[in-house]
Amino acid sequence: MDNNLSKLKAYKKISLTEEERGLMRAHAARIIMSTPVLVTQSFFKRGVQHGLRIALSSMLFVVFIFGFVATAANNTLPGDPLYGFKRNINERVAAAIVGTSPAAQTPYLANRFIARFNEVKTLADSNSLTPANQEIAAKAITSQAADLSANLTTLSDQSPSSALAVTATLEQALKANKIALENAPAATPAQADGKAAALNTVNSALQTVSNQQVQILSKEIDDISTAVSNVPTTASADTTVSTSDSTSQTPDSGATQTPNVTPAKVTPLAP
Amino acid sequence: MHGNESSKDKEQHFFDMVEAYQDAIFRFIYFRVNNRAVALDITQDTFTKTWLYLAGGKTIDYPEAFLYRTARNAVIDYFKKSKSASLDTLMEAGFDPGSTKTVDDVFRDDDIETVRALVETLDEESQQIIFMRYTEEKPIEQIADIFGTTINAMTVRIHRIVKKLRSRFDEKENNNGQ
Repeated sequence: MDNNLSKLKAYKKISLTEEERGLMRAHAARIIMSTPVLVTQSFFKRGVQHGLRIALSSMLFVVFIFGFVATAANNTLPGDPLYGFKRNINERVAAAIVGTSPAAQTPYLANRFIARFNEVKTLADSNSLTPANQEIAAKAITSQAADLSANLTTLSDQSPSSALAVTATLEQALKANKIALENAPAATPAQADGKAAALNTVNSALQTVSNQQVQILSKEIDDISTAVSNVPTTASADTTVSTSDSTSQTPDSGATQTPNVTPAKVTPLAP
Repeated sequence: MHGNESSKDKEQHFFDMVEAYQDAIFRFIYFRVNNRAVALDITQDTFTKTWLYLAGGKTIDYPEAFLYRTARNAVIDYFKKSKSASLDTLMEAGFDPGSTKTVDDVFRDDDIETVRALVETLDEESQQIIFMRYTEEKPIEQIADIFGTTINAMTVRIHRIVKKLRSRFDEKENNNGQ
């Protein structure tokens, strides 16, 4: 069969005539003229630009959505769907912007702490203070109290007066909140339960703030006591040095001199 | 052909392709359509498609394989169209049934015509494979590349086609003997 098939080689003799070749060349020239080469940028360049466009538009879209959600979350109350977003994203971002030092963080956290109680008050005023909502608010208050307490402790080391000022503001706000809660209506038993639980939370917070104040004051008193107890030791050292100095200065005089004693300054105790 | 070629380079490359492969592509098409005018028309169509591909900013790494593949598709399109077209329409387009197989002397050779008639009993793809292997004497590797398959698969396929042709040839010989 291979011999028979090899006869097909004869077809290789077939070729275009000169006239047909001319036609082919003319055809090639015509199509080149009618369809010029498409000038394009390299795939890499186009690819990068396209990728950048997609990335930028996606980023803008995400920023837009995020901004919209953040704005919507700002006025939420415990029990609202975006309340978690407000506490975990909005307030953390704001805390990061305020600064990391305790002097900057503590007043901000105190304001947040008061805001939590204001939320409870708003819920009570609008007859929405159910035990479930109160539980969410209580959780938020507990976690906020822990943060605030830690910051207050640090601040009391650095600036006790600032820490005391913060606790005083807190105490005042919480007391006002307590009064408002006591006067808030409770139409249903569930709301009455919520109100009672909220009052418990406020009382507990007041107690915590009071304890914190006591701690700060005790620490300050301790510091003052330490300072006072150090005074006589310092004074006697001064006396010794002065005596020896005066003796050494006039070894041969034989005259009796009064030692150069400077009394130590004692800060009066705070009432 | 590389992507960073200028348009002048592409044009020159295309002209070189036309010069180098026009006869082979024409033969390949002519072998199937049996009409010189139609074969010339399809050959031009094959080169037009090739240029449109190049002008669109794409590149051709293996021109010969690309041209054969394009010609193959053009022939398939031609047969699809000719099935649906009437004889009058085909004659208007240049198809002349009376002139079929009478244009070139090689078609008048009875021995060759016997083999050719046998080849024509095969399917379209098998006929093209036989043409490439036995007329153009292309290596199996290149045929496999044109048909988008592996060398092993193409070797097996050629073997089967030849076996089929042999059995049909024997059958025909027996019929003639009786």
